Amino acid sequence: MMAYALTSNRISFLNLRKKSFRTFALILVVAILSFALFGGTVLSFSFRNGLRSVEARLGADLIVVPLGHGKQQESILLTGEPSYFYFNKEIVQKLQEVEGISKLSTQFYLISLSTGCCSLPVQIVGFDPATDFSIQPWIQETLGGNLENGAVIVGSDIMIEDNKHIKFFDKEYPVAAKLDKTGTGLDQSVFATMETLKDLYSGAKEKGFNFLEDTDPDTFISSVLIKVREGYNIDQVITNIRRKTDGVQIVRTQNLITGISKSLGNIITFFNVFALVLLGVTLVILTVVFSASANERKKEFAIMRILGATRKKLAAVLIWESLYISVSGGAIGTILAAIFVFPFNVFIGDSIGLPYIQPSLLWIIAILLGTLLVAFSLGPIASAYSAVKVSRSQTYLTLRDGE
Amino acid sequence: MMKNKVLSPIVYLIFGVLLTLGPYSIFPVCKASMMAMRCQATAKAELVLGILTIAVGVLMLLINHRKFRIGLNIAAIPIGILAFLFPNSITGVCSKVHMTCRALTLPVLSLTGIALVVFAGINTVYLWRFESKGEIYDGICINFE
Repeated sequence: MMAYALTSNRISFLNLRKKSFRTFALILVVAILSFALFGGTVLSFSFRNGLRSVEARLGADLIVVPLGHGKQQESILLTGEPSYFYFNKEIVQKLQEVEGISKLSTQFYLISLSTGCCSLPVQIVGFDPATDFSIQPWIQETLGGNLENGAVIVGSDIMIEDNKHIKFFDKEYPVAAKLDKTGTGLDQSVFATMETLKDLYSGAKEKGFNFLEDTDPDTFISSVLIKVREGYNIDQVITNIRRKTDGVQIVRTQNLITGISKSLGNIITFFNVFALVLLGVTLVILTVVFSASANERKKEFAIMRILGATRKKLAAVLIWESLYISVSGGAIGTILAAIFVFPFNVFIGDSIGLPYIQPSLLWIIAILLGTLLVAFSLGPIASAYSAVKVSRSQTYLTLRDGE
Repeated sequence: MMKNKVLSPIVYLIFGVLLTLGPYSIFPVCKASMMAMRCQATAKAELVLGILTIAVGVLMLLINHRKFRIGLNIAAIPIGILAFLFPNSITGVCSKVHMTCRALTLPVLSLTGIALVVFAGINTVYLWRFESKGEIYDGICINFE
């Protein structure tokens, strides 16, 4: 039989082991709190990053699409759900006459079956390098120059086997670069110049992949991206466009951002309230349980005093108990939250339907340290009152209590 | 020991059911199509591994012999490793990040595989240490120290 010194630490450990159900319940309470704090904070940071990215990446103020295809355009931008729709290029001439437009650029959409594996289609976006103001600045950040004809740029979520080529309609296209993650549908898109897109389009036709009747990239386009001239009101420009054109739908990108921002605000408010309530409830539970436990063990502590334990040692026993519970609960909760949040980040982002970009490693470490600090300090804070009370009690009176 | 005799087979049965039915129900792989999909092959491999895990659980429930139980636990370790490796490298899953097999099935199977290996490892060590301390008679441990 091994002999152990009866340190405060060991007495606390033995106490906790003896009351295993109570210990388990308290650890569970702290674990739930730290799970919610760590998981919830990482999620809210990720959604905030996603929103910032959308604001930064949606370069156009307005997007003009064929009537009835506004929702599809929003899906391409936000969720990456591929689609294609076309209207005649003549619309560009009409739009050029509209007052209040500073820049406009056309895009042509195709969808393709990824040939390597899996039947989900990929969105291919063709842009005009001469007029584009939305995609090229973003491409230049990654590529350091403009995209050449014949090559494509892929979004961060497109997986390429050898990282150099991507196959569309049985033809290999060199991948010039992979863009940084944006948390938007653009991560699931492939970008090409209009010249490359024409090649892709004829490849698709040869393979019997017919898009809409009588559409080709020479005479048709999918959308017109518009930058409003400084000093002009966006609503006024929309009215001007409506006066000049018909059969079109205008998507206001600010509305997309406002929509995301509103949903995100609701989620973050809910999380903050939930976390605060949980924090309060955990603190109350721990305080009540430690207080009851200290009260129940008054005579035990009095005997320890008679056996030579100092007042400080009695307080230390309670503090150690609470620390064991906080540390175990905090560690278990954050580990479980990490197991849930990190591997399932794509699934969570897709399920909630908001742009999602995980915070950087430094931020994750900061959130982790913050969560552990809160969780670890909860127990000692909750047991502080009981520890002071126990250390101040009169041994003689406590032992004679009830006689 | 008695708790271990009942609990560990239950845990193995849960792991087994997860591996067998999970890829077809709770965390499904992509729906079968004309195109050969990697995740479909992974689901089939996991089904076999799941059945093997269930077999380990059932045998542990039926057999009391500790050395045999240790052997079963050791056998569960490669099953867990394979459960992890099939979706991650051997057969893999679909290449699009947002497909359910990659977003949901892959992490669940990876975590299940890791958990199975950890559980089997801990259980093996537990039984091994228990065996070296005493003997079992009708499920009761007699410690001769």
